[in-house]
Amino acid sequence: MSVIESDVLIVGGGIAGCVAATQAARAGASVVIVDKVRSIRRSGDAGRGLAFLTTYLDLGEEWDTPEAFAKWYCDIALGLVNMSVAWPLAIEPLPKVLALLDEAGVPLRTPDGAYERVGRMWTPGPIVLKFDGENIKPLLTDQALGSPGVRFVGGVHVTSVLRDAAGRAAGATGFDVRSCEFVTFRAGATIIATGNAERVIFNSPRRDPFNTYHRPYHGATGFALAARAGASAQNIEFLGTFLFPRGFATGAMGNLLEAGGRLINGNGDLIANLPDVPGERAFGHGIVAKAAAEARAGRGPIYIDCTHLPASVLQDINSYISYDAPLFREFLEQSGIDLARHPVEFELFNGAWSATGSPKGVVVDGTGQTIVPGLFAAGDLATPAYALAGSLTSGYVAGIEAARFAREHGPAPLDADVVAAERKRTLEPLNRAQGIGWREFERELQDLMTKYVGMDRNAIGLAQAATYLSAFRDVEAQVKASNGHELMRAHEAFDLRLFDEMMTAAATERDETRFSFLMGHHRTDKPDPDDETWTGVAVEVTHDGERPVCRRVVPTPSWREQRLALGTGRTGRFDSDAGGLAASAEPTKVVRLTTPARKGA
Amino acid sequence: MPPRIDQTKCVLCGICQDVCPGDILHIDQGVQNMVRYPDECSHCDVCRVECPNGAIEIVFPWSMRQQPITITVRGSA
Repeated sequence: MSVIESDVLIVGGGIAGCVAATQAARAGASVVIVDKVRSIRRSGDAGRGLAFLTTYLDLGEEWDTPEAFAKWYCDIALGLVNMSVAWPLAIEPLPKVLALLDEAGVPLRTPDGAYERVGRMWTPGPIVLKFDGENIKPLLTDQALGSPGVRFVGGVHVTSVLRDAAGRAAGATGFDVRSCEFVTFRAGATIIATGNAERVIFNSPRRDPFNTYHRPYHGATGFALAARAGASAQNIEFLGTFLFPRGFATGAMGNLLEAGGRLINGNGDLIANLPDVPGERAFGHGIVAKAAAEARAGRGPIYIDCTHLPASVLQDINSYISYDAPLFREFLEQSGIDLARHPVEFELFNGAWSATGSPKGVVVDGTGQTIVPGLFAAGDLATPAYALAGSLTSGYVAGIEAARFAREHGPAPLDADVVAAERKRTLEPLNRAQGIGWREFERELQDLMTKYVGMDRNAIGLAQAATYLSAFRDVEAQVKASNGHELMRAHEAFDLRLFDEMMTAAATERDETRFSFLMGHHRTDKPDPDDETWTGVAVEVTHDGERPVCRRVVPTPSWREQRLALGTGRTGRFDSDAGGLAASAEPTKVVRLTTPARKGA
Repeated sequence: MPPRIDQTKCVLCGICQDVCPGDILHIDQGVQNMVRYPDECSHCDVCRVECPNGAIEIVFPWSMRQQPITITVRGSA
């Protein structure tokens, strides 16, 4: 058995994985980064670039302090985030990761030395740093791989986290996605940083599972690896809801709306004009809810219209959108859309991905460690971590702490029998001449999840989904693969099924309806929030190998008490005027205009 | 087929297949059969950005593209 050894093993070489590697190496550890991609230069969700980093700078304004940031952070997560974990993992380290970015050569300031800061739809002040992040990933990759003691193993898809007899993480196994060679890793500590969940439900036009906002290729593997090792996840019943351009799932909504774009329905009515509507800025979820309400009322299609904006504003969008929303500009060009003349059609999609403020993820403590000793999670996979800032900070902390754990505990022994069993399980689909293709299997999963565990759910549908998912476990034994690529997709599908079971169980457990910024859980059989039971209460779920196991936890009890004392959980229904969704004291209003519309040419 | 490879510019250096996050691009059978799994492409644009010879362009299939119209918005907020 050939074994790749290191103090710290990092599964996934995105932003969090790279920062974790750099920090673990600086703490004196030998590090192996393993990724299914053959080069991590531009791997992960930030591979093409990013233009915004949400962070306080503490430059004197009251909205600009770590404390104000923490309050906002907990509020947008509906109190479903453990603030004693979020503080050391996602908030306190922000200045340190800014220094790390500086050191890597990421230009955080404008050429004249100033910070350019903007407010986004959901922020309390201009805490979003706009920067030239086109090359943030190559720079952080170079920083990591240039650190002494860091090695990269590419083209390997990881299928299990190994544990020793005492239950401590001991390494991982995987296979080469081209040669199918089985690979074993042994490490003192293991960090999973494979991103949040994608490809769980159809979330794009034409039901194309690979047309997603975040990279689709990690599927739900990180959750499955963690759950099979004994770790748990929280808040995965919530779906992200977002507007994507019809035809292409890319992050265009925020960019166009922030620039002054306005939301139009199929009657030509202005639904929302973001900068001018009081209350709209309360987390921005009013916008998505309004678009949803129009679509549900049959007043689609929905457009974002920028035709009224001055040329200079449109030009400014073009300056950063090429990497903040890769290919959106080309998409418009190839569609013949000129923002100065044409509105862009948008559609509402639900995904399982994490977004700003999302508390979805694998449960970790303030050091990034799961309940499995020696097993850490970082980046979008971990809760609490949000977007770029959370990936940077959680990677930073987990890297240091994993190195410390490895140093204190030394390498863990590998059990040859366990490795042999995992090898058999991993390569089994290659031995099947007859059977089901991964695509067919995954499509059935996505179809049933979309139907029963999509935005509209109820107890009966969820129970139905659970029975299908349970039965599909036996079907896994019929899935075949004829090469490494297909074997990778087959394992991604197996991991999706495990995640689906956990997500379905969590959605069943939360017998109420609850929404926050970009994340929602709508039970048609329990259409109202049950604040008494659920305000600030999270569903934690793991999998015992046979079935998912849920429990209810209160991540930040003081937030729950405070909100109950206020008499509202700030939750709402996904319906017409979105009044319940806005956390602002000012009621949100729907702007309906009566001037007759001229038919579009 | 989203990434379109220009045969006259591609030297089969393999950078695109290395950076492709989806294992979509394979150079072992030449340019003709390089986009091995076109329907798994997520349009991330990384292959095009990293190609040292500018040999890749991204072409959205007809079914993904929008057809533009003009709309007169009823009034203003």
